[in-house]
Amino acid sequence: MTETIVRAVRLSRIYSEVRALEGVDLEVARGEWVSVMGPSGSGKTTLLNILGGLDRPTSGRLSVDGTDVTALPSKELARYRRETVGLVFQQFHLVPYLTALENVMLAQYFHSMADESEARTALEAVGLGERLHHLPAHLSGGEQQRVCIARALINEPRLILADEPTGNLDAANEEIVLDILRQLHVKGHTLVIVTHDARVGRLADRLITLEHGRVVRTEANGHGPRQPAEVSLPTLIPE
Amino acid sequence: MRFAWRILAGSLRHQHARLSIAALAMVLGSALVSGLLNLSGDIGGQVGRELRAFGANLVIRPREPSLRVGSGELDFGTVAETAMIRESDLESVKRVSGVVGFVPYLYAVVEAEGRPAVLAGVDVRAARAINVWWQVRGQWPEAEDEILVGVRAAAALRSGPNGPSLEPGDTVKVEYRSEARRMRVVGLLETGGAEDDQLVGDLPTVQSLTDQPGQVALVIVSALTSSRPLEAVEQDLQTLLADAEVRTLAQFARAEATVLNKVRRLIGLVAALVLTAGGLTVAGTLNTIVIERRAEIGLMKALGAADRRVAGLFLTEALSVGVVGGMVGYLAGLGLAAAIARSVFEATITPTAWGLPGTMLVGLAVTLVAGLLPVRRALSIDPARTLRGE
Repeated sequence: MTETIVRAVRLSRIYSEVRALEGVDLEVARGEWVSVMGPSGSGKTTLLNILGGLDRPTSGRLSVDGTDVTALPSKELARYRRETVGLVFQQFHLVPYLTALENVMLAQYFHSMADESEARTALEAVGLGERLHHLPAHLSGGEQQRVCIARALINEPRLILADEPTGNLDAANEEIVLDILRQLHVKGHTLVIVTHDARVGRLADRLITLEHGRVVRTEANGHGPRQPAEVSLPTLIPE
Repeated sequence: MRFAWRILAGSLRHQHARLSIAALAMVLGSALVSGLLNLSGDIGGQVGRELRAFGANLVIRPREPSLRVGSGELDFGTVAETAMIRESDLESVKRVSGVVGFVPYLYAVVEAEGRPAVLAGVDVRAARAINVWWQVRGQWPEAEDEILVGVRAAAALRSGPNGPSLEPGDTVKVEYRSEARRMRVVGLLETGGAEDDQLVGDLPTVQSLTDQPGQVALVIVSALTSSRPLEAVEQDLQTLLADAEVRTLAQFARAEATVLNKVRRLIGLVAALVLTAGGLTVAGTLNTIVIERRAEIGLMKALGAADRRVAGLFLTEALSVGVVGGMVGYLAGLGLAAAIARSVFEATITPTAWGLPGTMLVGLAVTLVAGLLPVRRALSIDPARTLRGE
């Protein structure tokens, strides 16, 4: 019996006249990889923002790991973001004047306390052991995305949310990032990934398609949620 | 905490061009504040010393016992006994805080060349130091029986209606009761006051002529009012000299207080205006920085940064501008104060003890206040929108 970590009920988000999300129901099991696809403006990013505590639904309820996220005041919502979710962005969003190592430590600093050795290990785990002290401007797109993933993982979040994680990458770097995501899934992390890439969609346990803010299709890929594996981060170093 | 410093160092390096402008504005503001603080600390003394050129501000006179006399309904007025102050009592006057110096006087009505005249005996050295407006043509008396003659007295004592005025080198026969002496005129004195009609000699000369050793009739005192009010000095003197009467020369005291107050008000006003301008520049710069770094702030909030952490990062940046601006400004202000003191007062300046802490405190307060609005703006940033690039 798999445990449900995300439970969204009738989620709606309305911006002035625009109904970005309308009555979305979603359940995600612990260790499950759910991909969300759909055309531009279908509400994918809005759904991800609400799951990540970056936005609030106009109506409906969202509970993550037993916490009613929709009822959290701003201060608690910030705590939810730093303790429960790890965010991976299409544009990476690294702080330009901090090194790769410091960008990872930034998430630790906001969470509790920066720990350089832990951050170093996390970057080594995504294959950036040699690029620790490089500024983002001196890293390739794929390397920046890996820093972004290391930053998302550093506080051991219960839910990893990624918005088009391979959207800005070339084929080689896309492969590296997908490999990391696959290994995270193998280790039992719960992933919700918004993508336009059918390949990424197929890797998920379940693919949800949104159109006009509504769920129009849910497809199971047949390989259900993984059970957590006893694997430490350094084994994630890509081949 | 150490990581916060790494973020701050990186951010300062990244924003150095823009922050330099804000720091420069604070350097200018702090330099003026520091200069004005150092000047205002010393300016009281400077202005006081300048005003001392216009004379003393306290006078000590003996209390004269008097008796009203009359007969029946007729009031003949008061009969006073001439009282004196002992010169030895004046030793303690020098020790009163604020007293710069004093000049004792003794007067005698004498016959000079057969005509009545007033002979004033003064402590010549003290008079030269304190009565700096006294203009002497010739020499100051140094030996016994040497005198100055007031310019009008010199004309009045000429040898005939068309005779020449007295000149340095002439001698004058001075008679007091049965005592007669020949005194040598060493200089002509012009003060614009009563001394122009008098003969002025050294105090011991007049004391011996009038047979009043160690006695003086009047003392004028010069006190600096920058460190304590004139009334306090007056009070101390009165306590010391119970048999005498101490009065302020109100005109000078008021003039001094007015000038000092006006100078201080001007200083305060200029400092406030300069700091306001500096604060606005810092606020404007920080505001621009917040706008430019919206994505970074949005990211911090998306990573779950508490508001106090985001506010802390930006306020620390603002305060570092204040620290740098305050330190450099303090040193520049010290130089400015020294230059003003040299060119305006022809004096050197002593740095005020509270100049550095005062400048730093004001600089930090201004940057902190200037940083509040930009920080508020930073905290209101919506992470979802900024990360979308809106």
